[in-house]
Amino acid sequence: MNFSHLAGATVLLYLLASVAYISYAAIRAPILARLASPLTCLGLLVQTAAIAWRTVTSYRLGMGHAPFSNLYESMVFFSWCIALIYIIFEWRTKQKIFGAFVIPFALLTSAYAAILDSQIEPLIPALKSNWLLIHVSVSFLAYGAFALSCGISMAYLIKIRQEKAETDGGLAGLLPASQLLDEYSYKGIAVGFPLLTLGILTGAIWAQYAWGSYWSWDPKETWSLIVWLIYAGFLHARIVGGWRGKRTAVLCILGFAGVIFLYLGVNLLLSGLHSYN
Amino acid sequence: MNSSSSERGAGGERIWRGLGSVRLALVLFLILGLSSIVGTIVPQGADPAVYQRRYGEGALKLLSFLGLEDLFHSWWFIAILSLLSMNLLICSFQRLPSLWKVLRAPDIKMEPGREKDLPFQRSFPILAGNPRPLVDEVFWKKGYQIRSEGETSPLYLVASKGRWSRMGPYLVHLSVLIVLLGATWGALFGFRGYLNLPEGETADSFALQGGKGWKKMGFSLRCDDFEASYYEGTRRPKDYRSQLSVIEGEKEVLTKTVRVNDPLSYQGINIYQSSFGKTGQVRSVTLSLEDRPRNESLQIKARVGSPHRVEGTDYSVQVTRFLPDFALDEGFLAFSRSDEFNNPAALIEVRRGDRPLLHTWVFAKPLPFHGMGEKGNLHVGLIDFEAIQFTGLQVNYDPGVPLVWAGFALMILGLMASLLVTERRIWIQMTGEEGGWNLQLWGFSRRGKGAFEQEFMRICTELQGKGSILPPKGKG
Repeated sequence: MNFSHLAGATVLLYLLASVAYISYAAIRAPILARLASPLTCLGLLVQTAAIAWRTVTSYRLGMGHAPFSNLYESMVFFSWCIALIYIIFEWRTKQKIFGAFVIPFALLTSAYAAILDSQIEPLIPALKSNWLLIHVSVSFLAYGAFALSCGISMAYLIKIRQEKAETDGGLAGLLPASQLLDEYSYKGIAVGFPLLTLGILTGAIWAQYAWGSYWSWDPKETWSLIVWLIYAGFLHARIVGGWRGKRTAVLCILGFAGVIFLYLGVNLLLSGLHSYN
Repeated sequence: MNSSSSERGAGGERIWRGLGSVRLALVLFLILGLSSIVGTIVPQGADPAVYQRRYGEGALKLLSFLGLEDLFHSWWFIAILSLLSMNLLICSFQRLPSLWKVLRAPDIKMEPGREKDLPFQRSFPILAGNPRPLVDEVFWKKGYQIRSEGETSPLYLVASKGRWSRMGPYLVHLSVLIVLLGATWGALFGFRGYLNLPEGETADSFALQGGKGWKKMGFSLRCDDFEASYYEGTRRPKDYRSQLSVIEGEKEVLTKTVRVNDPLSYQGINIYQSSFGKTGQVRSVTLSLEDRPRNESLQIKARVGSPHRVEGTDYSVQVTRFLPDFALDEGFLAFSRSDEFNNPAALIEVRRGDRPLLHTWVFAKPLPFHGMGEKGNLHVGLIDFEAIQFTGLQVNYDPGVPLVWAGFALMILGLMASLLVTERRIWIQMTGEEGGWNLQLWGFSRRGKGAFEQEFMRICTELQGKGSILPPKGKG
């Protein structure tokens, strides 16, 4: 058993879980839902082992670091956060139908990671800081929460269409009432937003100690502000502005699109301090 | 006229409300967001040639007019931030009265008609002589504060906790203002620049960012030593650090080893390890001296500049010049094409006693026609050299940083208040008399209704349980 076995097993398990959740949504057989959750949990466990293994190995190689220093490691960690937050959510709400909307994200990210170069590389001096640990982990936990909210908002849009048409079948029939979906998606953002804020603040503090500037309008920093503004807008629109329904669901999905650009687009398409190129 | 002045009053009122409104905030968020996106796509602070290449001549004029090449410091971007600050200030001011009302002790009696809205209600009898001590005890244990009205039946009480969580949004808004204030303060009164300091040298000023010239630091900085270590077998830097000394007048005031993530701080100025490089100069060279017939060869290490006596002989060697990338110009004069060590060469002078023997260039890379210095039986070659590196430092002074940190701390506090603490209230009505009271409770929780339901039930159960035991006569 080595690291790549664990990584591969993770992808397989998330794949099986996704298939189970989506089939459950399609044919509504309860057995599928009962299978899907343990599959997801097992996938998360195996992924945790893989991450731990990688961390230990990096120390043995003399280049020890927490496992989120490059694109590969951060992608794996992102996948882990999505799965973890979803598991907690499913446990608290006892709703299994959302797996069909959220676990595929975990699958996509872990599968994409599997085709990336996974060689353990040493850290450049700028990344050698305890702030790295808290800045990156908090940010990705936020991304995970936003992924959950996005999935639920997508479910919401499906549900309201069904409610308007007043039919009852299929996927939408398995979803709880649209109002509840709206609540859940809001709660996801209520968790993600302070985490994102903490991520931005710790990034700024770290930047001040590393480069003497807590904010330099680097594309990554700027995009994190943009995403922060989208979700701050969501919270204000909902709490004070009385927005509900379709508008907030769309904003939520837009926010997550921003998160994807913040995470990948900035690093791969733009250049700057955070560039992987 | 009365109507027009009241119209003006109503109009003014509308503007005032609008300035502190969420709608304005959302619009500003949108503008800020879109502008920022532009700022990440259009390269910031680059050479005009870059823009010309990417966008063409005409677009370059438009870009300059809009200030897009330094968008985040342009007048209109700052104007948007100012508008947002104003919106925050006015909004906070407008909502202060209602915040005050909430923070102040809550009303003891519910608004009439509210009973039916509250999802949690219970009613049960208490056998105690005076239920007040029991009520006080149970609620106090759960962290509630109690206010009461009246001495005889019916008694009204309200137990509340977590009211201060309503301050959350205020603290967050205030913190944003403080951060913006700190950023403005730093931008107005701070400075930033860089300094490339070769090992062994001292500097008292640095280059301001943006090509704005040189600025004195108010003290001298000397680079005692610079070291870069690499990951085994690679050219990737593992760690690089400089030992720097701060000198005031003649005295060495402070010495510190600076590395990335670990700056030097003196008189509010921070000096950061940012990069490093080669100066193209060397501290010393290693030469080989061969006396061919006798097959003796020596290796000597000579510092650049001063003559070096070779031990055990009467030779002396002096390195007068060193070029990292030797080339000859049109006038056959030697110069260096670059700072890279592409063709290292040293100009050496060899003497025997007082007699000059050799005065020539020697090269590290052997040339087809000329490599070593030769004179008769003496052969001199350039084997190695100690490159002098420079340390790339960032010099920075930002007096607004403490304010920004304070703002950050307040923001975390505000978020915690909004999300971790929840406001709960339980109204109690006690009717009856000694020995036979009836308690009615209504519960309200702003969030976490599931958890509150459990707490509410537990409180009722405890009150009911303890209240069903009659205290011994003479007490209560």
